[in-house]
Amino acid sequence: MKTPNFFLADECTILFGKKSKDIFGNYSGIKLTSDGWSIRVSNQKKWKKPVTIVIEGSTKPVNLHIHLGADISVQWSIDYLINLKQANIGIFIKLDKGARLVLTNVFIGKSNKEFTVSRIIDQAIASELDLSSGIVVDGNIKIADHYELNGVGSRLKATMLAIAGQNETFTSIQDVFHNQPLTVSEVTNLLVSAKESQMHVDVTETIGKGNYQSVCHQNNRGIILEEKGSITVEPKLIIDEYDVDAGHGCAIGQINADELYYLLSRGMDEATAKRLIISGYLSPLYKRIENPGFLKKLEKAIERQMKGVDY
Amino acid sequence: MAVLEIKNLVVSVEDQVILNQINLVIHGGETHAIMGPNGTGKSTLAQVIMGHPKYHIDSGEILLDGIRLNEMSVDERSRAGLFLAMQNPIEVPGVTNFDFVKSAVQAHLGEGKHLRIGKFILAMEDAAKDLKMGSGLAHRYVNEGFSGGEKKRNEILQMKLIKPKIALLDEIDSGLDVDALRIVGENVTAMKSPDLGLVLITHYQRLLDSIIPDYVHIMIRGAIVKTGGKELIAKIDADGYDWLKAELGIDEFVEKKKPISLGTCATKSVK
Repeated sequence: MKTPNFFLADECTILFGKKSKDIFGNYSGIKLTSDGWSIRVSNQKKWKKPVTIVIEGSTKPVNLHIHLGADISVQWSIDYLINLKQANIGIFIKLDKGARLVLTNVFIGKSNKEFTVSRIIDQAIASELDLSSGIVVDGNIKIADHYELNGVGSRLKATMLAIAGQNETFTSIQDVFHNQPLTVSEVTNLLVSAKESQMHVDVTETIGKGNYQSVCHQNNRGIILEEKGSITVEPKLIIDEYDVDAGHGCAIGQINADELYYLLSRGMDEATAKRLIISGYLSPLYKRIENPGFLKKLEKAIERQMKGVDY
Repeated sequence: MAVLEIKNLVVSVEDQVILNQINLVIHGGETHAIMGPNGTGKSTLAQVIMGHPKYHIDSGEILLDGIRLNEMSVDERSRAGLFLAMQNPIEVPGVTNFDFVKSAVQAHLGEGKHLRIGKFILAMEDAAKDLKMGSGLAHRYVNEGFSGGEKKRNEILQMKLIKPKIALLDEIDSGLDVDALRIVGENVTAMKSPDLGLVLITHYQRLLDSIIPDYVHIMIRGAIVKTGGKELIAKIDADGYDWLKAELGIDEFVEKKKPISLGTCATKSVK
């Protein structure tokens, strides 16, 4: 996918691709290594607005390493523009003590080749990751997430919104390890299956013995828009400690009948009502997109995924 | 002037008649109150008129301006001019009140006509101000995090903007404090005109002190058993419904309970 102008024009955008653009200046710590791009932030800097990192898709495997030093707090978006022959993608995030990363991670585009996104997260003491992911890829994709809460009191909030259309397959494997006491994780998956797509999500959260007063909750919701679509979710908790707060839930089905009736009772036809309800479902992701040009692009991509849905 | 006619309406669920031979005519400009004990079918009647898919009409007709509604879908009935302010307004996560009401008003404009956004925004702001709903209303998600009173006022706000021919207000007074009830009462009363027929479903006199009805109907066990004027309200408020049950020889309800399965959890899969 060609990098849109709204990214090139944005002063807070870093672009990794043919027209690489770096706004980090002396603070950047950006390096291109044999293993891919590496960003290390050691000094706190104030930005006019959240920084967007745009990564052009590639036919060669691309890795991105992010390392936030102690007590660094940043809000970023990492947007991948998927290539038609996209190779596998790796994202490695390391948060030092007290670091805080609010990250929106969107994958958008079309690939004729199945590819895997591996995200490995390592969190130290009292670090916080608030990750909101959007996956709107025309093609088959597998996401493998591995979260290690390695520091006491580290916190993870991971929300993933994925939409699959046509006869695509979407697979997500999420493993969260609470390796220290007082660690907190909140995992939410919002899935929309349009047309004949097949979606599968497998979430496993593990709290080992001795990791007392840890909290882990997961919430999985899926909407199947047409009869031939399918969503399966396996929400799992593996807990070897008594003093914890844990819960999981899963709700998969068609559009909520009460919500639909309410909108119909206000005169909207069924297609309009369903579109509006779905747009509401997607709002957690929309809210996180700062760049209006990219938001429009995302909305169009979602429309394309839902195109031809028999409401 | 609109006319809603309900003729010999019979509705049953699982072989049990829940509305029995209902006859009612509501003209534009009239205000009808429907009262009755809990579980007698008042809200069901409103939902059946609106076309809730849960209910099937066994016999009888619902006509709006002479056009039969029985076979019409919920949205078609709304666009024909019906409005139901719900007893428990539904929360629609992620959908802003602005987008929701805008889509509703747009739907009522008809094909080829487009909403003038500027005019709509002003109208929505005015309606919110009239109902003392605060400036952030448009950007809040529909009914999410609303208090009971806010939800009810939000129903009236929609009604003001959609401008129906016949409005059914199902227990619009529940969850309202004294001030909120006055505000709702004033707003609904201000909307009274020959172009609007009102049906108020309520348990309490206090709503009917604010919105004075022309007719009062009492429903018991799925049937309208008595129709009168305002004088009935005071009688019910003072004496309840026992006198009427005794007068008509109606026995107390025997509630039928059915066991339900709560199902199992852990992994759910739908194919």
